[in-house]
Order: sequence, then structure tokens, then C-alpha cells
Amino acid sequence: MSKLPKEINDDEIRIISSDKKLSIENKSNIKPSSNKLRREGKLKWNKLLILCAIIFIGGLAVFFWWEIRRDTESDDKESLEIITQKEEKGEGHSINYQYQNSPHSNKDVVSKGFVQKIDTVINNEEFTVFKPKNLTPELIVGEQILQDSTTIFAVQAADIRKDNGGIVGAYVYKGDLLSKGQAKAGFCAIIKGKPIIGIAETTPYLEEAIETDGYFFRQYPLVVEGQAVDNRINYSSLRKALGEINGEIVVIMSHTRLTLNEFARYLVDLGVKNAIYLVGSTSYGFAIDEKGNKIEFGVKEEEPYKNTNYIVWK
Amino acid sequence: MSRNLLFSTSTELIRLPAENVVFISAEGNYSSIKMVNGEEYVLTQQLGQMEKHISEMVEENDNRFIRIGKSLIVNHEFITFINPSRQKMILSDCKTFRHELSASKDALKALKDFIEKESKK
Repeated sequence: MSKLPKEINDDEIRIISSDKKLSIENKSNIKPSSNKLRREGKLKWNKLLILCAIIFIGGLAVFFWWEIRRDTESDDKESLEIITQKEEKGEGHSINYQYQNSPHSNKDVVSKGFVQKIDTVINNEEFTVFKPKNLTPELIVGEQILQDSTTIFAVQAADIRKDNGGIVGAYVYKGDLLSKGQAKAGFCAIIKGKPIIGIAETTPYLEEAIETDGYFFRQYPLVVEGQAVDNRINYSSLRKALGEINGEIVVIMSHTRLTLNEFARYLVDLGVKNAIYLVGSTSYGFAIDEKGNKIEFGVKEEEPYKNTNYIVWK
Repeated sequence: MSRNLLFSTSTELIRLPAENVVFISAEGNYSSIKMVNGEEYVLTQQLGQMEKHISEMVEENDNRFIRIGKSLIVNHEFITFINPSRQKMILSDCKTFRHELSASKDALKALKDFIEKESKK
């Protein structure tokens, strides 16, 4: 029984053929003739032996030199590692914020981030843009997140099927594939805390989300590379979108009922580069602003679906 | 001339003409096969296992299937558009179906080079 093919990276391709020999990995697949190959092979071996000898002698020299210097270098390395760890945790650059007189928070809650709320008008249509500041996004399934005091921003993400309460489209939660399928071409992947918005039926970000304990969900695409995407859904409703403006991930909400196509065109006018839809209408969510005020939107469901899910920033 | 691809697990068997398979995508431990007629088959096999089965079943010199990165196998006869910088690829028969897929820039560049070389043969 033959073995599984060797691992492949996302930046490689491989021809699948019956002889299992022809493969290209970012390189040409031109193969030289067998005689030439043999002659070249002998020459290569000779060169390789000489090269190995040089490397061995050089290696010995480097080894002794390194042994002499190791003691002094180890002290430097130790201090460098401590600095790196501190930067990764964000301790060096975080802005501490003390919430006060807020209905959401107690006075002990200290957060490094907040949500900036910006109201804007485009062609007489009102929109609110929420910009998470110094926060990290993730996905959460279930309503328990609404009681979590560390959540600064919560918006419903993937749609739920009315018939069986399942999540629509592929959905990855901390690396677990909770739902499969490609009902909608838009997607948001969160890889190592970084959100990526795109449109594609298949995307390597789905696998990457699974492999890196990340997150992934699907929604209707609205804007791709500054161009509005045509959608067949033509009824009007209150709309929400997850978008990217100047490299910053934001949530945009309409104040009036719009079709998806109208909403997408307004997003383009707002300067959105890429955007996907979020659960619209009166879907519930909240944001904590820089003053610690809790801004709620939508209506809390009395009997929410088990799989009601949120993209939250903490 | 190509033969059927046969995928069999303990619970299911799927037999498909190779020329009617458009692409196969990974979904965790599952693989999803997209056909020219729009049908989709989901198998409880990882993409690496699918690749292995295909290599065992395709005819000699049949290089139509290409593994692209960790999450995709495409039938390159349906590739109608590749733009590596936009990480975009379109698979279509120019009549009935059109699928827009994404992959890494490097992989799409390698694929573009390969198809260019193939077309010059």
C-alpha cells in the first residue's frame, strides 16, 4: 500500500499523476534526459563531497569559536527573550482604561481597549461606524458572552438556519469545524487574532483557521477590492457589515432599511475596501466606548437559538 | 480517455468520471468534490487521502489534477483565469458553471507558469 503524499505548503503546487514522480513545487517541471542526468549526477557528487569536507572543517572552527564565546552570549540572549515576551503580550503598549459610572462595567474592570463610535451620513442615509481599538477579535457561540465583562464589542456573525438551528456555512471555533458548507461566498477568518475578510468559494484560510486554533465564518459578500458585489436578495432591512477601511477592521450599521445592493454601494462610498454582511435586522449586540458607556443595539431574543454566535472583541 | 474515480470509505462509495470533477476542497477532516453539473459530494476523507486515491486511479500521463496548497485540488482543464497578485482563480466551462477560488500568490504563480509551459508543448 502506498504512503500518503508528502506534506504540501500553501505556496506550493503538485501535479497528481499516476507515476507519482512528476511534481513541481514553485519550480520548473522540466526534466533533463537520463544520460545527461547521470553525468551531471557524478559531477554533482564530487562537488558535494568537496563541499562537505570544507563545511566540516569550517564547522569545527566555528564550534570551537562558539564554545569560547557562549558564556558571554548567553547573558545577552536571556535578556532579549524577556523583552520579546513582554512585547508579545502587549504590556509595553497597552492603554489602560478605567470604566466609571457605566451600566455595563464595575469599577474594577480595567480594559486596554474600547470601541470608537462614529456617526456619518452618505447621500442622506445615516450610518454608524464602530472601530474596535486595541482589541482582539474572536468568535463565540452562545449567549453567555453577553454576561462576560471582558467583552468590549459583540455583534452577531453567521446566520442560523430556522429549520434546524444550525449555523449556515463553514464555521470554525478555536480550530474546531462546527459547521461545513459554502452557502455564502464571503468569509471572515481570524488567524492568530488577525481578522481577514474575503470572497472565495474555497480559501486556504479555512484550513489555516483549523490548524491554528483560529476562527472562520461565512456570510454574504458585499464589497471586494472597493467594488460592490451584486446580491440577489432584494428585500430591505436594517443592515450590518464587517468591513475593512484603510486596513482597519470596522463594523458598519445602517439606520434605515436597505437592500443588500444599496448597502454595498454605500459601503463603497464610505471607503470600504472589503466587506461581508453580518446578521442584520434587529440582531442584538453592544459596544463599550472610550468613556465606558455601553452602547446596545438590536433586540435581545427571549429564546435565542443555541447556535446564536457573535464576533466579539476583547 | 479517462477512467472513473472511485472513492470508498467504510460507510460510502462514490464513483465519478474524472473529467466531470471540477475541484476538491478540504474542510477539516472532510473533502468536498464539486462536479460540472453543480452537484457536491462530501467525503469523510482528508485531502491528502483524496490525492493519494487520485494518483492511484488516473491514467498514465493524465496530469489534469493539481494539488494547490493544503486545501485544494483542481482539474486544471477548467482553469479559465488566474491572477496571482489578487490571489484569484476562476474555474469554468464558459457555459454552465463558474467558480471563483482563492489560493496563495506563490501557488497561483507556479500554476500559471505550469499552464503556460503545458500550452507550449
